[in-house]
Amino acid sequence: MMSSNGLRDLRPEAGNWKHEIPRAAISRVFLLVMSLIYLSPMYWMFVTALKSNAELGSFPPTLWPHTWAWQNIVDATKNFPFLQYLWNTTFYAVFTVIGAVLSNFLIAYGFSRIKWPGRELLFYPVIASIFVFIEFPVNPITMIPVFTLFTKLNLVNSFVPLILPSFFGNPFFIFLLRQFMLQIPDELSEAARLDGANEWQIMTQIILPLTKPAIAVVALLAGVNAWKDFLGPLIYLHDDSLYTLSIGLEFFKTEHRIQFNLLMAASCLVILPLIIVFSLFQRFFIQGVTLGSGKPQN
Amino acid sequence: MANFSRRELRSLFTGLLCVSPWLFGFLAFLLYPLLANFQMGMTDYSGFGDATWVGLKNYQDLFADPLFWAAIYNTLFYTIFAVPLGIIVAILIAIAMNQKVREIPIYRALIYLPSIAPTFALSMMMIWLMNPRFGLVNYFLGLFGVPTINWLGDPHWSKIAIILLAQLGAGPIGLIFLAAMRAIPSTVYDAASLDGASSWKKFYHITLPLITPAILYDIIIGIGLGLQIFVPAYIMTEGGPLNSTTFVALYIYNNAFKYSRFGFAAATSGILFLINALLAISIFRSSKFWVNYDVE
Amino acid sequence: MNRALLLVVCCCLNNVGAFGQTQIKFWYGSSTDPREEKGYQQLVTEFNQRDPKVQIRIEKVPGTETDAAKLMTAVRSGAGPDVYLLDRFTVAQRAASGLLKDLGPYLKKEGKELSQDYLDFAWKEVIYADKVFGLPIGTDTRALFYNKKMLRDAGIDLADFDPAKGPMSPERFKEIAFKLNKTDASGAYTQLGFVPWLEQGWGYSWGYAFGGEFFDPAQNKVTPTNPGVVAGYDFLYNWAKDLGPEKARTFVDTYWQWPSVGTLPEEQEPFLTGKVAMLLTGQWQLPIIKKYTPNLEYGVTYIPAPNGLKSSWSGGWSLVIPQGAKNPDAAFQFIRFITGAQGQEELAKVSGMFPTLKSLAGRKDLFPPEYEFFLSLLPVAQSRPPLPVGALYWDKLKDAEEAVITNSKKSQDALQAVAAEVQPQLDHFKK
Repeated sequence: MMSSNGLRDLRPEAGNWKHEIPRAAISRVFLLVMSLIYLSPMYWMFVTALKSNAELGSFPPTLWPHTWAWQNIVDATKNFPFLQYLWNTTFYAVFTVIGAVLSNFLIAYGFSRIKWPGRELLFYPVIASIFVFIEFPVNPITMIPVFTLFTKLNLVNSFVPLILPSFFGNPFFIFLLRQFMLQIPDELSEAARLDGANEWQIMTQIILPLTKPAIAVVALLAGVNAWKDFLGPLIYLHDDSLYTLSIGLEFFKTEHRIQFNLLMAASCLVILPLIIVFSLFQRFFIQGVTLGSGKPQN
Repeated sequence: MANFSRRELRSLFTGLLCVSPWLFGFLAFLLYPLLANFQMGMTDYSGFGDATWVGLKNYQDLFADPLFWAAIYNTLFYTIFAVPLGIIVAILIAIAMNQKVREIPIYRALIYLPSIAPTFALSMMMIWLMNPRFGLVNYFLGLFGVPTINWLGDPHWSKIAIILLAQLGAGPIGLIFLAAMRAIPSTVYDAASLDGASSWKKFYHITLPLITPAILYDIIIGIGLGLQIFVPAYIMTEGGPLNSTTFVALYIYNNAFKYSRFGFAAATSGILFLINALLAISIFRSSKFWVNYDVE
Repeated sequence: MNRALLLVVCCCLNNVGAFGQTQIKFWYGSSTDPREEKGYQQLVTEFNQRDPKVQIRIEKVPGTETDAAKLMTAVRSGAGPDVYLLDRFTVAQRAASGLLKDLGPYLKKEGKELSQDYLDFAWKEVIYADKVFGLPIGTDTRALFYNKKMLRDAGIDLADFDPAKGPMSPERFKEIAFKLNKTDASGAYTQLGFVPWLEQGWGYSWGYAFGGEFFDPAQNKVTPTNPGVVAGYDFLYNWAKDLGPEKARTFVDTYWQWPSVGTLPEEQEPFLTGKVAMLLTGQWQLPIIKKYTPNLEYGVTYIPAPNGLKSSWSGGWSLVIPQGAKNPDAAFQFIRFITGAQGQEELAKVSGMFPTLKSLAGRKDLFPPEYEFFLSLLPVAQSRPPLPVGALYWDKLKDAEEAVITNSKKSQDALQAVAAEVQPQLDHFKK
């Protein structure tokens, strides 16, 4: 006998309600195991951060600090100018978001809301270039010539090479926004055009408000991406006053004999803003993935 | 020259205007570097002063360098294992997130959380997590009687350690699979139930074929990520032990920024691009044989 | 974008400073010993007090002995420092790649001839193509530390370790060391007598101990396959084999995790915590022991070597001015100050670094008595060949070392590969 959601029933005489409990229990166990696996790294990071030096080297490793070494957080910031790096990273993220939102919206608009000859043809390279720009803006395929270019322009050791590319579109975001905009009925734009509105007006007054959810997702993804960027700051930032949290943390790690508990404390500080952003905008992160696929969200 | 109406011409103009930032970006940040990789790849350039033309010498040196082949092997090894594993994990996550349990939002958040954390931070944490003696992973495995594994110090396990680390970031892809699964109308499943299909049969014959677009997407992205992997190798193992985690991206970085061999590095970048393009195109071409776009 | 440009402009202006003040950027790598760091900071403060118009700003940057990627990238982009602390044996390589400024003109301006002021081997290291590219700062030597208590408890006669007897033979030494190996129930090592490749147990140490030569100046060839060098690497190979390479590696990765990734706190160093009974390292270990385990009963003696060969080798740093330095003249003044008698004397007192000035050699009063043995090694200490491929050679020798201690390659093969990779690069410079 089969229950309605397809789980094979192991007890042939059982009534319907008895199936729900094992089903829910199995689900919960499964979920618990998965969450534990995914939670444990962060948990371990947090716990290690607050262990004292002595406890760090204890075996078997303690799962919970016996003494809470809150001092570690302070010590970590002694050699790790957290606020300076935080400011730099925020600066980088904010400008990346501005560039990403402005450019990708405009570009996606051009690719979806205006019909012009050659539009589809010109869009192929966008899709094709997604796999090159897996990491944005700096990736191993294009970084050498681009770095040389920026060196010749004397723009290395600044945020320009990192922020500038965001103002020229990111194929992934173009794709995402375009998918979303394609779902807005053509008639909306057409009607406005017939009413004599120019493209700019249509774009800003009609399409823009409707695209807000997708733009929010792009903003979030672009910002987080900039926050996490490592390779970019690694090759372009050389003054320690410019370092972002990513390379600041790596630099902290290579200090002569750095301790793991302090390193973990610093890592927690680095992740904390992201966790805060995530909890506030969780909906957007989770939605963002399904945006543009035209399927019902929840 | 085609005859465009005035209307069409204006649309063309506006359209091009809108996409012009991308056109510029494409030329400057994609086309130019791709071509320059090959042009620079034929010079000897230390990054200081001038570049001297050396023809195909860099490529010859490249193919003669055992470390280059090690890098190719490492990168392909990583990609070939990480991508399928990534799909399996993403599907598992999607199933997990699809469970009809009241507290599902909490679970969803917890599973998604590590993908928010920057790779560099997770890498550092991994170093400690995978310490042969004090790390949680070995401690946990030890409870099951598994002998100590020196994850980051044993050349046989180092790549596997990085592959496992990558799975922590499977959250977003899991969501994509979740959306794809949700898109399948329940009527299809109901019909199958009536025919007496088991859970597994339903999954294999209904779910799997219908989420193939998501799988294709994951493969293409996964290949890109795999071929360009850099951060864990740079932070956790610096390419060791015994060059077992020297990936092509790291090889390029070292040659350019550590050994001042820009031309050589550019040549390698060019080759990386070719490999990436080849794989992506092949997968895409093959997709017509196994991807189902019709969900209805 | 304007903000970013402003930031760049500010950084440039930073170098000029307000009110015509010249700011000099002094960089050193993050792997610098903290005691040395203290010495530099002290000297910088002193220098800054002399002339308010010239101020030195210290910046610590990621970097190790052979990884000057940060420096190179910065210089390449015009954002480099005015002074950099460069490992002396890499001066030739960095100079050859066009990274450093020739100090000749500055020396000429001063009218000084410094070549005789410094210890010969140190001076040779800062020369490339007959030009001076840096000034030597400090040096060091390496020896064998041993834990008296642990050895005694294992029934070892400490008389064997008496330096007066000269270096122990490697065979006898291995016999003793293996007596101290302990494993736990699962077979993993919890204590080892000695791990030859820890700390300063580089291929260089053992190559020199076994009488090897790493470079043949007459033929301008690197000689990693020199019999002495191969013997040194064989020593490592066999030691690893007898310990079991994976088990040894696990031990090291558990209690040390060095050199590439983060480590346990300094106070948990295996020699201090009794996980290893003996250690091959330099004189900088002395203040570390004093700080964390002052009651440790230890001794120092010669590195074990066949035929009673007293061996050691010296490293050390130098100060260089990279290309594109904004204030080379002021930078040169600073370098002269630090590498001069006063600077080196202070550094010696604060950090235990040995001076490279002949005038200060033999100044035993600068060091506490425990340094005496290390000082006595200076005359027999070798130094790494200053080659335009110095850093590359070091990295490849390290690779060979790794191959050998994991028993994945025989010494001869691994070292042959080093020659095959490095020699062509060296020949490049002969043209």
